[in-house]
Amino acid sequence: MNNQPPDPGLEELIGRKLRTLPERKAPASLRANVFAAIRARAARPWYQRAWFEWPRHLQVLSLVLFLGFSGALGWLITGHEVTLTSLSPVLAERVSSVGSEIGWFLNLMTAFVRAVPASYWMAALGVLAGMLFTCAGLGSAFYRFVVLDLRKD
Amino acid sequence: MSQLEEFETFMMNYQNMVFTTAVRLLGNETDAADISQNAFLKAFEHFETIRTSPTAGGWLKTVTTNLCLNHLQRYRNRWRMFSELRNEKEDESSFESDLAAEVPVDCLGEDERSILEKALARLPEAQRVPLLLYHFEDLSYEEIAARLRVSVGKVKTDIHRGRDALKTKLKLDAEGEPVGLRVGS
Repeated sequence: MNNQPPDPGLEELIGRKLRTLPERKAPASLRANVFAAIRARAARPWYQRAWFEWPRHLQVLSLVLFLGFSGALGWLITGHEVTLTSLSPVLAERVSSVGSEIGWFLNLMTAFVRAVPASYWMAALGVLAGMLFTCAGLGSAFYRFVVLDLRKD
Repeated sequence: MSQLEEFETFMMNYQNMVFTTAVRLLGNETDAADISQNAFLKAFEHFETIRTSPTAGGWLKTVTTNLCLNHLQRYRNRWRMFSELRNEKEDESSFESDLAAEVPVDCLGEDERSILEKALARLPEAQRVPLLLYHFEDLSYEEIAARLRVSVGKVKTDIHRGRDALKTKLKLDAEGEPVGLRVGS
């Protein structure tokens, strides 16, 4: 790269000239556009806004619901008093049947995996990783250069 | 006075500064108007905090500059990825041919500031942006390099070329006086 030495005289001169430039007048439509955008934002329904902008009673309600749901989920996962059999014997039987089918399938897959040499699996994983990164890269590029562009236009 | 009325006064005080910052960095009035709008929407979001702040103008200018740099960065990325047809040298040579075509033989009748404003807008982005950040935002070469994610050497070279181009456009002599004026006086 051509790394030219700075010229203090020219720097001072151009700086001085640039500072004499007056401000440009903003277009007359700018204020109207900003206020239209502010009004459009204010008219959005609560569910299109960030949680912090929700009405207070909806914030409280959503918080209570979230805490209640989380608590119930935690109680179901960790509590031993409630089992699937006590809730529904028929459902428990079906789950058990599906479980045994899954077990059989897993045994079959394990036997298959052991039968194929490890180097083949490594190659397959490499191909899959390559495909994944290619898809992610193309998707990101498409979003950044096409979708964002279209939104702007 | 309601908040909206206060904000309108705030806008009237700063809209020319914001638009000027944007239009000089972007070199395009339409994009500058969009960026100015976004800057004021951000200001409205933080209006409770900035309405009484003595540094509101500085804050607004920084927000505008950042929005402009993000905008340019986005387009630069697109350009890098999808177009190998043009390069910086072509930009510069086309600018120089524009310069040759536009510089009047005798600029005595021209308003120097208007010529400078036009010349600034026609500078290639790579020269215009660092030049403006250096002279209007008072950023150092290192700070500009960090903001634009380029080397300090490139920043220095681009600023130097930009100044040279402006000097040519204004037909200035070593003392900064228009050559035509000196000759004529």
